[in-house]
Amino acid sequence: MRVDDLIAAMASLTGSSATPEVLGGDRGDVVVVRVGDVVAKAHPADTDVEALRQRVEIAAAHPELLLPPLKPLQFVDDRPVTVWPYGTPVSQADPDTAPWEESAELLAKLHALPVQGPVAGTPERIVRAIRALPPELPHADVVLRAFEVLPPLDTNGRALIHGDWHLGQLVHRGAWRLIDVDDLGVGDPVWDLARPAALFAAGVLPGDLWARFLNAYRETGGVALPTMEWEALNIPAQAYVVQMAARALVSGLQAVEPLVEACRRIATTHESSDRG
Amino acid sequence: MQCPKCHANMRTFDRMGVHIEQCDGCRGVFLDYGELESITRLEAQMQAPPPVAAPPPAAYPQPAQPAWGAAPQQIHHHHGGHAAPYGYGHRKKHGLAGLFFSS
Repeated sequence: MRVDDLIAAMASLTGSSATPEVLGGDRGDVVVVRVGDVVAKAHPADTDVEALRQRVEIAAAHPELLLPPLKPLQFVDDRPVTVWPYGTPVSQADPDTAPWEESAELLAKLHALPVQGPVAGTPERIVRAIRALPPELPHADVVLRAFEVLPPLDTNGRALIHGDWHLGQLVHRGAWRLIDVDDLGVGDPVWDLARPAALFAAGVLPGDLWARFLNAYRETGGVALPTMEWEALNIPAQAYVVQMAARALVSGLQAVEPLVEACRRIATTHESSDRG
Repeated sequence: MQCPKCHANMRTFDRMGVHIEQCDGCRGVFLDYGELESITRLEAQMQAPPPVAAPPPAAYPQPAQPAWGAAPQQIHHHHGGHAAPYGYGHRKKHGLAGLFFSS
């Protein structure tokens, strides 16, 4: 099916007559279309449909945390399509005013829900992104070396987690809500905190913003972290540093230097502890 | 008024709202009823810390870095003042903040 036909079919699923607008540019195998006040998302053709159906149902059951779908799982030909209300994304203009506390509260409450659903998409999606890094790219050797020294990533599922949290996974519609259920499921809740932890450790996320997020998570009773947060975050944050470095090298869109430098330090840390 | 001790003339001074009489001859001081208490009260106020107009905003302590974390001077922290080399403006350069928003 041509993309134009897919977009037209997705637009008709929304029931709106407004002009469709493709959001987020070309994302390969994912197409997101906004039609008026409704957003339709076509998921990759190889999506685990049953898992996605359960994820959409979890969102519908917890509208206080997750943006609830407007419809159950739809299809255009064999392509699974989800339909959501439009919400305003977080402004990228000023990280200081981003909803760090609200994000942490939503995640802490999500982690407290009954454990249910399919296996979360993380850490498998992290490993996938790193394996997609062409080794001949400049600096790829440093990034791949850091990945090699990491211990096996923990897949111990003990909570319902978002699985791919960052500030782009939040929209405002009356209140801030989590979006994108593609990796939602049972996993270690530390993965939902590991990306900002990684950015803080790489010197990219300012300490006061990390502290706001961390403190709000703890004050809401979040279960992911022991008293010394790095006891739990250390390896997951290292994995996210490597993943973000790999993504930045491939996309060429973001400054990669602090991430590559952090990869260098990760490799050094593991090599010196192996010798000791 | 005359000094009860040396009978020289006494002059009235106003010190922070308290009237005191001091003798021009022996420099002795005469206090009216309640004036000693007023002075004691003033003294206590002067020793107390100045009243604070508003409590300062809660500043989070700088969170811990892991062993492999960036060196402290690379941490972009703006509470130290905008004149710091890694002040507020540093946060937005390089489009690094885009990393907060992408998978």
